[in-house]
Amino acid sequence: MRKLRFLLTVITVVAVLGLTSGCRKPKSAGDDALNPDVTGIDDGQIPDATPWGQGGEFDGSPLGSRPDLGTEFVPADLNIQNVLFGYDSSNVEPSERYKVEIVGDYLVNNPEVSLVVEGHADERGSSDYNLALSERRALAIRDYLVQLGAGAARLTTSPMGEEYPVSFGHDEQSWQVNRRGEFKFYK
Amino acid sequence: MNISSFFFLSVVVLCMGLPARAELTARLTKHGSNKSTLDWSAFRVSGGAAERLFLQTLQNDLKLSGCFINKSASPAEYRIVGSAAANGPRLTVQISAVDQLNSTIYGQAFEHQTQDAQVRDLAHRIADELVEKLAGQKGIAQARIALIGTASNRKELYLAGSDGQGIMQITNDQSLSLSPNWSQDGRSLVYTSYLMGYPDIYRITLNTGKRERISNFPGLNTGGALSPDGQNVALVLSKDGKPELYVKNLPTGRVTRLTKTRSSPKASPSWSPDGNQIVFVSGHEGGPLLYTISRSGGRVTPLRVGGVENVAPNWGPDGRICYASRVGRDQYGIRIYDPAAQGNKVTEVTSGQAGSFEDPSWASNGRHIYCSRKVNYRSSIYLLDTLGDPPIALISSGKGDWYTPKASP
Repeated sequence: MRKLRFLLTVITVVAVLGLTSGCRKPKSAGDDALNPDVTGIDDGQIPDATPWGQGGEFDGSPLGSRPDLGTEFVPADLNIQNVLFGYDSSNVEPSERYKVEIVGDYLVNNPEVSLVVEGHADERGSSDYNLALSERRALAIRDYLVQLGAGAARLTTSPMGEEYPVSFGHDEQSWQVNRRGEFKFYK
Repeated sequence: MNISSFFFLSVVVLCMGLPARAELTARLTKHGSNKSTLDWSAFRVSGGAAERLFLQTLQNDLKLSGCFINKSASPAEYRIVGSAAANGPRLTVQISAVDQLNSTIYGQAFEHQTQDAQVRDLAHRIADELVEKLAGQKGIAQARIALIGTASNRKELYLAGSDGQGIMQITNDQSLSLSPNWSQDGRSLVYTSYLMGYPDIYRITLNTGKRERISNFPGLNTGGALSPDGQNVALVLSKDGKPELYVKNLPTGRVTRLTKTRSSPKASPSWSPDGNQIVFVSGHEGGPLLYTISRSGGRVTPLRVGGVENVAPNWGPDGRICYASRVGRDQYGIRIYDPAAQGNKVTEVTSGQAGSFEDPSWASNGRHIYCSRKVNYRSSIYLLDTLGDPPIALISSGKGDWYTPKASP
């Protein structure tokens, strides 16, 4: 089982790398206009700034229509864990991927199940930006599930922004667990 | 206090006899703006609740305008003369402003209803007229503030007067309401609501209460901002697989995608006054920073304003953009980017103030900014004066938290 998961991870990483390097769309005018050597980070007043995330490199697949979800349930005997993210990042970190893979396996074996990926952000920053960031996180998880063969049509996202923390402290310990993706199962 | 120096400066300006000069002098003042003094000792108010509410509202409006200091004795540059008296359901107000040469600069008489909302409306109207006549500036007292509040335990849409009084709950969706924005005519609001379980964009027409859903694609629909001509709405959608900036033409329903940058969140579009440009937040160069794009798409131009994180931009009527910039671990300050400025184009409005200032939006006079201020993780509403006066609390966080104040145009 462990070997299988490792193999799956390797295949996925290779597939994802292949996707981002080989299948990237031609550069748009918008990309050309960017000046990558100017980062805008220049006033150095942040006492404990976290390194910036590099942004997900998934290309993203269009969302279909909002599915008729049926009834929410919690799959028995499935180790469901929230996928955690770095500050301002929507990268599914290698250390978090197994959490998505558990759900991916389950979906492959249970084709009648639909899934909503809820995205969340910590409380810092503007609520608008956090809403978009939380959607970016949910989409990154969804894209990974699509890579794993879960089938795009039954995977939808639900951005929740900073509005529903699971931990109510105002420190890194709480923020860390609030920057997350959650899985909601329906059938 | 500096009242005497204000007085001295103001008298000098007054003797020049040019309101326009007063404005010019004020703009050059670094610490606080120039103010005229008003002597209220000759204004008679009978003791009823309506009269007291009228006087309190009017004097507070004049203070919030940043143009006046209220006094109850001479000497002052203007004497406010007249009376407010309620008689049954009618409030009668006679009010004049007389300058030091005994010329009546402003004089009006009103008959009005005595309900709180009507009394406040009358006071706001007179305040704006006094600001215009005596200081030569555009008044903001009659504007309304749309904002999000948690007094009912859920985030709902509220309306308040420009002074933070007369708060009214607009939605009772018991889900989640976010990001209100005004139409240019001040008659309707667009906002984001989870009414149907997902973030969709709605438009509410205020005098009819009619609500229509204007965007409900799969995934994210948020950031709805109406163009100055009211024909288009800028919005952030994720229907194509990533949160990107779009424009929807309301008459035709046609949706055009504007941005196509590397995977990154996009947020908070705000239109330029001429409706040709949109400023927005994107994370494609690392942290969230500000960019502009033409309303028809094309090149994404970075606003090089410094700062590690710049969010929630709001394009003001005079072309300046205010935004929140991260200044600490979880603290933000309000900054202004002035594209027309010679030399330093960026100024910080809230430097040296405690707490986190967020969600700035311009008042229609292009001088004041409404924003939220978080202290100990409670969020309240403040009015900032870009001419340097200290922030003034408008709505405190007693019954709930308050966010994203937007003044009507």
